[in-house]
Amino acid sequence: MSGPHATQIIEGYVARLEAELAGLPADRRRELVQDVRDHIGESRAALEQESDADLHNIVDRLGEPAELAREAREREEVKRSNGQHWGWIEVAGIVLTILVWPAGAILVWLSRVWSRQEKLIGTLIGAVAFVIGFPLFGPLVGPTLGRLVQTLGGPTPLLIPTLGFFNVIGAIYLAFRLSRRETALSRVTV
Amino acid sequence: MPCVDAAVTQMRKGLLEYCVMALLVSAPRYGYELVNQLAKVDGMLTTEGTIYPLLARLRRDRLVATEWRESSGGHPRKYYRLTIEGDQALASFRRQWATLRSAVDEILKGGKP
Repeated sequence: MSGPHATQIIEGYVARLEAELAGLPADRRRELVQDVRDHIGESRAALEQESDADLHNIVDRLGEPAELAREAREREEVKRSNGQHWGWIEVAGIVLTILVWPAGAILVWLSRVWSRQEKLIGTLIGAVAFVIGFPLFGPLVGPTLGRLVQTLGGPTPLLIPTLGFFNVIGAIYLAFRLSRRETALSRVTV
Repeated sequence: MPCVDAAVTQMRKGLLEYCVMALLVSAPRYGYELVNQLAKVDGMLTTEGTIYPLLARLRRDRLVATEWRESSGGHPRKYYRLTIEGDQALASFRRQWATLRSAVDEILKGGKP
């Protein structure tokens, strides 16, 4: 007892929604599309006799796919910055990423402000210095410990402060993402 | 007056979150049920679909939690329930809303010719 063009109407709507949602994370897209499909299913089940007009009404009430997508994007931004101002963990995480990389990386992962992707990028940049060169040493600790390493017959100390530069890039990246977050927050709460 | 419209839209959007949470105080509900409840009140939900991004965000913020339950018709439904954090957020909103509402009413009344 479906409307004669039920599949066409519903799949057409879902396809337009999916197209509008491009750019959002895949799991968000999947969740929203599933929620919308469930909603359509519930609406249809509530009908006694289904006509194409009923189906058009159902999708019209849901709203334009573009509007849903805009809402999803806005909610996504609010979520990222919602109540999560940076504090001492973030500051210490950035500072220690420069000075003593592993300690900084641990703090960065403990923070709830950065997303997993940002943490991964920040950590990987710092990890380059850690893996290639010897060391948990940044530019400040590096020269001191580097000399010690050299006296023990380790790798050349010149390498170490140079590689510490990567930590600085990692820290700048993390700080930049934090400042972007603050901007997003102030824009959304206006 | 596009400026007023935009302001009201933003306000409605912000308030809708707490209205949804308030509807979950008495019992867990599924999305379609929430939409129907909100539709009973004129002017609260302009496009039904926008509730789903909102619910997803409330869940990511851990203000609501979801759970699938079997319906009488035999298909699973995603139920939303208020978490302790959601309950606290709602309680705090109720207090602030009461103050804000009477403050605005007071001022609007005073400005009447």
